[in-house]
Amino acid sequence: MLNIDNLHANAGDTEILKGLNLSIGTGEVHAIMGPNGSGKSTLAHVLAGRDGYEVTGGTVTFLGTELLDMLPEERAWHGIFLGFQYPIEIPGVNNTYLLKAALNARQKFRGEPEIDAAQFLRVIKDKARLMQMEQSFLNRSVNEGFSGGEKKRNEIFQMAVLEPRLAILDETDSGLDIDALKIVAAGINALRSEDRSFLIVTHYQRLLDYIEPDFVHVLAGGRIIKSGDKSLALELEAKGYDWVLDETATPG
Amino acid sequence: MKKIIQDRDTRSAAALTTIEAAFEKLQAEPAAGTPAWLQPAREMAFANLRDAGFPRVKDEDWKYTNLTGFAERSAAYLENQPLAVKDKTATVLLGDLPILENQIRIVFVNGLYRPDLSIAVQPDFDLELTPYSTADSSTGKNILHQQPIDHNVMIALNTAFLADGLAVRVADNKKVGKPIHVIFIADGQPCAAQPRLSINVGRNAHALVVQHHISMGESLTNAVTTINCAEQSQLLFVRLQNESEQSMHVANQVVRVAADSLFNSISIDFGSQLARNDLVVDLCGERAQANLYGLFMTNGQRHVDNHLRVDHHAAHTTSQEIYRGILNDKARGVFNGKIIVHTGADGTDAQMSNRNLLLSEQAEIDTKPELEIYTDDIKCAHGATTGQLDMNSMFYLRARGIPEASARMMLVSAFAQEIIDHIRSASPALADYLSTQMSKQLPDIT
Ligand SMILES: Nc1ncnc2c1ncn2[C@@H]1O[C@H](COP(=O)(O)OP(=O)(O)OP(=O)(O)O)[C@@H](O)[C@H]1O
Ligand SMILES: [Mg+2]
Repeated sequence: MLNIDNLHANAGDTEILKGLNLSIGTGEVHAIMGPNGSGKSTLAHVLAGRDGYEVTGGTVTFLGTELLDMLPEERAWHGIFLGFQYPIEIPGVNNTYLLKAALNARQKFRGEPEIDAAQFLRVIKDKARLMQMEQSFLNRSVNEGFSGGEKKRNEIFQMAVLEPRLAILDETDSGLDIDALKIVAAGINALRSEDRSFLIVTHYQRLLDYIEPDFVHVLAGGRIIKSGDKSLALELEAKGYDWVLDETATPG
Repeated sequence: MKKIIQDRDTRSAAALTTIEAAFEKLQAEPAAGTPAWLQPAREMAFANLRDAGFPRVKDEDWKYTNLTGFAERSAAYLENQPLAVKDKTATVLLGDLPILENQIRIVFVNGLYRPDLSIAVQPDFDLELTPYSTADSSTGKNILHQQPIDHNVMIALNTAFLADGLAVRVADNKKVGKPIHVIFIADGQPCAAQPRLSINVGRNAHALVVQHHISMGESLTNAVTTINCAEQSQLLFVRLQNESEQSMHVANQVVRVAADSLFNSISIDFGSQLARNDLVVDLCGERAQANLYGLFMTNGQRHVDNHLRVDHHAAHTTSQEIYRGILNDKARGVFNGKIIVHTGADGTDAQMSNRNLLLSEQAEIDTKPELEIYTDDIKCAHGATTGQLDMNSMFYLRARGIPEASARMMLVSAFAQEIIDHIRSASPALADYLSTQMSKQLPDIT
């Protein structure tokens, strides 16, 4: 589904991604862990098409097309979803309105008619229930006045409504209490399917107790330096990152 | 540079000479149907206008707004038609307007009251709506008595050529929650419209008045509104300027707010090539309150100037000013908010904020908050910000699949809507209308 080949990217004048390789198959769940500042959010942003990063080398193909040439909205229409590490508040833009506009923009891109209003309402009510969000949240401005945990839940709610092919979730578990973590994990698990893949950035093994990843990667110094199965996450939790860094350090 | 300055002042002076000739012609043969009781006031006002003259280039209050074109258009129109002209197209313009909750609609075209286009209430002692042209001499003198005649040069111009107007009087203890919709149409014929509205809200009375300007073509409007809020009263005053993009529009509102009363104003400018609005509020009784909201959207080479002045004359008075501007292309905006806290106005609380969105590199805004404080015991804050659309918000929306142009419109609309929302609870119909008008402009503005 996603193939990242030797990706180099700068933020400002600094090179952050330094030859990153990653391949995600259809239906797979990949977890990315790594020290603060190692480039995890940069990777997520570059994949979603945020301004302010310069790709200086490498390629990314998504479902067979070159991803990096596309505008952020085009990536979304092709099925990319980014769950933000720090979801922002957008006063005056209604949550439901945003989702409806997003779905209709995608329908238009696909050459399909606008979504049926009644059916749309049913869908968002169902998904809100799945995320145990009060209906009142639907009519509020995007994230405005939401608690940190509520914002993260709203991200997963949006993902559930938009039904992407590849969900990139950047520390969706950070700042969640245990109950919210379970809700978010259940929301993600409900969306797991054979034709949907996940790239989950996290610092904590505990999320992976609920969402079993197929692969775990360590991102450090702008590259994936180690990959493994879910046992790697346990090992990282117990031992930290130093041993991986030592193990992979190139002599000299 | 010097040359240009002289030229503009000379041109304004020449315009005034033409206007003087027009005024004398009018005095020699007064137009039929205009109230005789206006005569002395007009003469006095003209003397003031002649003495003061149009603003000069060096005039600090007019630093960023060039009124020469307005003076010249006034002269050209007044030269041929000193008083208001009958319309041809008013009904077309009216067709788009909403009928607000209580159905009251008072229409003026080119400055003249039009009973045929108005929807009035049953005669009601508690709510009097009196067109000047229907007022007898004693009523008329009473109406004028309550208004400042020569507060500034533009008010003097309005009075000198005044043909008609509307007096709104809400009796003591009367609560009129629904909007009194006063519509001033300038239909684009060569006519210098001088709309006049006077509002008196009695003790412990409530009212909602909408002063709504629409126009076609190269219209010219010089509007004056005087407002008195008696003790314990509440007034929501909405001024909506949605004139044509070739119009020139100057408006003055002079407001007195007595003890324990509340004046809320929402001032919206969507139209005009040149719009200048002066809102002057005197908090003259203890615990008087004013909340002043404003919104303007402009693009092309258009110009919008908002001047506010709030005088805190009494103790424990509060004022809040929240103005927002949205500018695109080469549009120019001006915000000047002045708060004066006078001796004795202890316990004053004054807050002012002006936020502007500049959507192009060439758009420009001059924003200037001014505080003059002559007492110690006060709370004051002011802030002004000017910037582009928030890039983080843009990316968030686009990452969800909203196309860039739509994302811009969503954010601009949200920014504007926060001002419009202050009307919603009082008049949903008006708020909906404003939202629609705003949305119509979005594709051009963003
Ligand atoms: N515009 C920028 N200019 C220069 N450096 C930047 C810029 N944006 C990010 N960086 C740097 O890039 C590095 C990677 O940041 P990134 O946010 O991708 O890290 P992360 O792995 O997500 O960290 P965390 O675990 O703390 O979320 C950091 O050192 C950060 O300071
Ligand atoms: Mg990060």
